[in-house]
Amino acid sequence: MTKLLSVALTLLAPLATPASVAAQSPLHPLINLGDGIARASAVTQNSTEAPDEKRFWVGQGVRRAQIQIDNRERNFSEELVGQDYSSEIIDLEFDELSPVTDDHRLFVLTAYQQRTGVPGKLQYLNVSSPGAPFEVALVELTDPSTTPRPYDIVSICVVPEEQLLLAGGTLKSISPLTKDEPILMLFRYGQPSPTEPDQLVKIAEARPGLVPLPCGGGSFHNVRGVLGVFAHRVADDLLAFPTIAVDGHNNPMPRGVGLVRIDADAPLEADRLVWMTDPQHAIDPAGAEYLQLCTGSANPPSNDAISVRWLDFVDTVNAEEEPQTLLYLACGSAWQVREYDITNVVGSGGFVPGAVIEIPFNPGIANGSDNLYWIAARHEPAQNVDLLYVAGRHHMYCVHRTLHSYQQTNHWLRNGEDMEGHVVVEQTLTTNGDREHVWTVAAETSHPWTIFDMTDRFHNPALEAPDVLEKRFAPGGCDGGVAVPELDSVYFGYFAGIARLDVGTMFDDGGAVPPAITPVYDSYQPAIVPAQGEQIIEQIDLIRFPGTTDPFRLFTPNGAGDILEWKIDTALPAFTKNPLPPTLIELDWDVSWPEAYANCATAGWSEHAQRPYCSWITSRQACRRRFAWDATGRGTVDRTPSGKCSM
Amino acid sequence: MGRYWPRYGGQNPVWQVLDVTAIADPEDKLQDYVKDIAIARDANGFDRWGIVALHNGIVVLDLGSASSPMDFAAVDTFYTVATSQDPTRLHDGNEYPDVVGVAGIPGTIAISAGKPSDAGAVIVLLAQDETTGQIANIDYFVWDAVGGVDGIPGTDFFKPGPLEFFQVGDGSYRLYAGCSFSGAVLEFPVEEDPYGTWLGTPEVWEGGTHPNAVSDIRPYPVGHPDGLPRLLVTRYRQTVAILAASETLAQQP
Repeated sequence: MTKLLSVALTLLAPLATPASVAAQSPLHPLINLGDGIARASAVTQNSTEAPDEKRFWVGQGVRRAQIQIDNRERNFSEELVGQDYSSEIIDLEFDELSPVTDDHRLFVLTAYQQRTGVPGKLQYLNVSSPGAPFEVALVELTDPSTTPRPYDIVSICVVPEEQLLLAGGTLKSISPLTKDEPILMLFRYGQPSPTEPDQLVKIAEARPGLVPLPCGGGSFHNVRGVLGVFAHRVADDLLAFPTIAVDGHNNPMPRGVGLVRIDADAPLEADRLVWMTDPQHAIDPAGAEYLQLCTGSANPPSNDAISVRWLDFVDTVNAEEEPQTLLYLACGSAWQVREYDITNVVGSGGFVPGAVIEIPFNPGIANGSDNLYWIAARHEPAQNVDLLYVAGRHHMYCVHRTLHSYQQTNHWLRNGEDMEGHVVVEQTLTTNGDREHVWTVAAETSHPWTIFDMTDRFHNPALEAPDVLEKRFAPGGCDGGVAVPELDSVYFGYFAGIARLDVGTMFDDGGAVPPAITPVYDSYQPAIVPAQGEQIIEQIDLIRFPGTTDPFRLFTPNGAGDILEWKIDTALPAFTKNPLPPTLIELDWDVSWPEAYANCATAGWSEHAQRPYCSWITSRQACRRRFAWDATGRGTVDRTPSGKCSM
Repeated sequence: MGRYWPRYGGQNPVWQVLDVTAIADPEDKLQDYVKDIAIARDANGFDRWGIVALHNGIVVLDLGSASSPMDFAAVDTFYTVATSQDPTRLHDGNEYPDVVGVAGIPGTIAISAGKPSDAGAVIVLLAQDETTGQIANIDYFVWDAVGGVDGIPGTDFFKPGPLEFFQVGDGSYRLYAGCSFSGAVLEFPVEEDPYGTWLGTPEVWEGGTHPNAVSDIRPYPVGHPDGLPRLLVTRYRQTVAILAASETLAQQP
């Protein structure tokens, strides 16, 4: 990590966006760090050869982080190219067009901003020579009609070996007379000939209008949008399988999968993307259960209670059987992975239900259920892949496809929505033979990118639950920060830990030098307390104690009504200025989270006592009480019994 | 501002918890979630009032003066929803059961609050009795709906967020309001006249992507040579921004 740090110090500064400071400036940013929540990733799946040239891309906030496969370090110099996104990156796709010629392309999708109307964009990068200038073309996803309706494109997918890119989303409603509708787009990319420049051209757009989704019992929902796009060749047909949302109580509900035929060479544009709308070509795999739950339960499921959020394909090759193409769905809080045989899906066969692999309700989750929504497998038909990787809100699961069993990883996803990942085959320096790793990114965790080693489980699913091979901190969203000018630092709380950002000489010269702010990756200190485990932290504040052994102390409420004290390493010779492991100062609560909760902390000064204090409120059912800490222990205790308080 | 205490020194602290009770809720309406805490100074410049946001209103606590110890007495409660005494406590006739931000300066408390379902938000200035800490009346009210604060284009407040007052070199104050949807920060000049305290026309930093809620605004304690503040702004989706206060704000009519 030392090298990473030095690279960061050297190269990250230009990534920040200092605004020009005019003589009479309005309110403006001196610095605006673009790193944020990790939402998307792409990877070079086969990284056994030349791993130093292979990359793992992460869309985190408005930054496209590029991580080198072999040393796991972020390559900031490459990131400088084309790094001018104005919206969050929500999807990434990589196409290794030719492993022989290193002819590679990366696609970056940024979000449509509904409130401002800023359209999403599709960026096209030639990454065949990392570090060299990329050829960039931006395509604004706007409606060409005379009455434009915004395109909310949320997912892109490379069509394997076809130099085609599929994009899907929602054609937004702009009046009470219209409804959201699904939309798909097809792009062709690459060089038309060796002498022509790279291009990315939209060749088809499917706006199918009203698409019914059979949901059991003879009833239908109307499809309102596309949540994800996936493409696969099945026999002679190139097919797309959009996961789709339907009418919900308030918002579109993720529910099923549709079927679209792709024929990029068709003379008529209308024939290039054909949404097959008869009932056998769409599935709502949990429809029957949904109806049952709705009618038979006192607590009907919420909008996303049963959802189809992700899928993947496995082609089986068995000498004794006909080749099959199987489709796997992660079915939301049905806690199921469902298998469908799609070998003859275009013909009369449709989607043929197969195995149902149950993830038992509440598998070790203390508060609430999990909700499966992500699935991945290796795209190597000859491997006859047997492990699927499925994410829930709290854990990743390794699902053994043929044994119908699963293992829950030990890695806890605190608020792990929007986790996704990829299988990467690597050959590491410390092992013999290829290793199968799963690189994941997840939003709002302390370690947005996490690597699992699944090699042994691939062949021996009876092994104990897989653990994390490696995990890295990266700056994402945070609930608060505090500046310490004496240490040239800003400390920010990251929900599960604290990290330091270095502001260099910004404090020393009164701000005259153009500012720079650098995340110090080694500084991340998780909010883990011995015997108490991981803590959630929120706001942060500082109290100084000049002349003491620890003159700078950070305070964060831990969510459960208690508070964490973090000293800062200012001892020579190390003087890292990084936060040290926290100390939990427990209050004498009769209850714990969620009955007790605290999320705010503010420091003050008692002029009468001549000492600082830190205050926060803890609340919920126990009692509305204010706690303050007196620095010298001279305070009094006036405790009210549990129960609601009133004057 | 005000979090640097050079007068303390020499001893490592021994923590003791002061467990202070009695959040006043005579209407039994305050919800359990705490959204923000602010410590405001009194007229003598000492930290005095604790202001706690509790969803449906705020509670003011007396933290003790220079001559009196900390006792944390609850001195007033202000509801942003209808009460038995005042069916429409906020004078536009609406309820705002989502108080998200609080901040205070001598004589004035600012709160930001929203309607249900993101249907609008307000920034309200409350006059505070500097002697008793009690809230006297509503001084100023900035209404927001989709389209901008009081109709000012580009000031998309929409959902309320954290607030922070900063004092500038000439002794006047500015109020900074973070937006919990757009990620923008509004900068208001705080004006005073014989009738009360009010806010002037704001400047806006749009803040980038939507949605990107501002999670906190704190001091970035290196000031402009002219005494203009700098702000450390944190956000839920993208980490940190440091803003420099406007040099043109005071020149606006």
